[in-house]
Amino acid sequence: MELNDRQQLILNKYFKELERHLEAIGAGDRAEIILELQGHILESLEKGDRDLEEILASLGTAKQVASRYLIERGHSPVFHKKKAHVFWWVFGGISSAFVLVVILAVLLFQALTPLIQYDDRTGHLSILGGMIEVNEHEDQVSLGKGLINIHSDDIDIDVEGTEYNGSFSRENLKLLKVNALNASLEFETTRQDSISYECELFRVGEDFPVSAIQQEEESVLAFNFRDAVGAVSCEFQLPEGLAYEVDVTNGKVELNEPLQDVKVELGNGKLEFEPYPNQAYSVRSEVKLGSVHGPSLESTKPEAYRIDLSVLNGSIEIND
Amino acid sequence: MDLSKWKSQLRKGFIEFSLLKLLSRRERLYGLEMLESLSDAGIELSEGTLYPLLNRLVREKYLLTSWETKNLSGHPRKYYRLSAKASDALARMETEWNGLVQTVENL
Repeated sequence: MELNDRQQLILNKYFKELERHLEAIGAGDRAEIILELQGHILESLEKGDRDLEEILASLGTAKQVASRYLIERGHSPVFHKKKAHVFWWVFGGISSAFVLVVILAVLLFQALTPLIQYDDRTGHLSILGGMIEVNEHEDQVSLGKGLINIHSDDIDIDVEGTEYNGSFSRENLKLLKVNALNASLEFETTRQDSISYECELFRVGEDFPVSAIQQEEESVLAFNFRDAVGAVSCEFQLPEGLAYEVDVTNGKVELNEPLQDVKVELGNGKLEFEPYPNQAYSVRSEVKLGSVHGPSLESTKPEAYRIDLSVLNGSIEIND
Repeated sequence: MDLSKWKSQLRKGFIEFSLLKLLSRRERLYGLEMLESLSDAGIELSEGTLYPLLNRLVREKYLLTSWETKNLSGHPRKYYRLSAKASDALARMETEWNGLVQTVENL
């Protein structure tokens, strides 16, 4: 069977990625795996029941397939170890709490001078007449008029987390809920009718109750990292139309081209929203202390998705 | 009780058993044939699970393989058949399985 150019391109990309992820396996075995899967895909295509996208969806992403081979061989699954910027979430939480305490104390003394000055353009936050200065664009914090300077590049905790990956079919699910204390979460919407997640968990308790994280009740699937995990970094891939709600205390949340209703409540940190091209959205964004950047999207079209974003301290970025 | 979790746990050992059993009834099979035969028998297994599992069973010397390139489809096929080690293991698995079924029925 002759593949068209588009199919050939998709397959080449898929197998190139698969081969890269299977580097831990010897070249001979790797070649056999690829040859067998190629044969499978081409013969499945010839049968004509499914198109290439459906076959690849059933097989899984190159990363997922490679992970399964590696796990079956006793290797660690594919995971690009990221330098965990746990410090930033924790630091953000601690410094915010510290700032709030200081503010409250000063309020008690009825200070007359402006306590907080925030420059939206430069991202510069000055507290207590410059005693504490936070430059969010440069991830820099100064205490005591430059007495102590902390820059995010100075601190890098290279922590390896615990893998927590999985996927399952959407079935009757209507809503996904994610709840975490310190987290970096990315959400993507895919054409597949399945939910998949790749997470790295940090500071997991010894009696780590995996079953406690994931709960399914009727049409709601909930991931509760708050009780079991100190910090978590996750990438979620969700099917179109499956609404999700996120509740994070400290960290970062990225919404990549959502094609569903979304609600995010973030205590301290940054929320990024990348709209799907030409998709109508009705966005409500609210930041108590900090700023909202980007266009206001307030479509009244019936097909517009509702995006409800709320941040206590930090920023919301809506990309053009 | 969460039935889907229970089913998922039950499937883990069951899939290996089913694969070996299937191969014991046929001289040799390649991946796509196995998926079709299992599906016909009501066992749904994704290809993303099957091939890595076959890979492990080969490494553990339960399965023997051979490549065939001159078939009607024109695509190379990797055929699998049971090793003597797998035949012994399968016999023990069947005893275990029958024992389990009997135990549950006697409750």
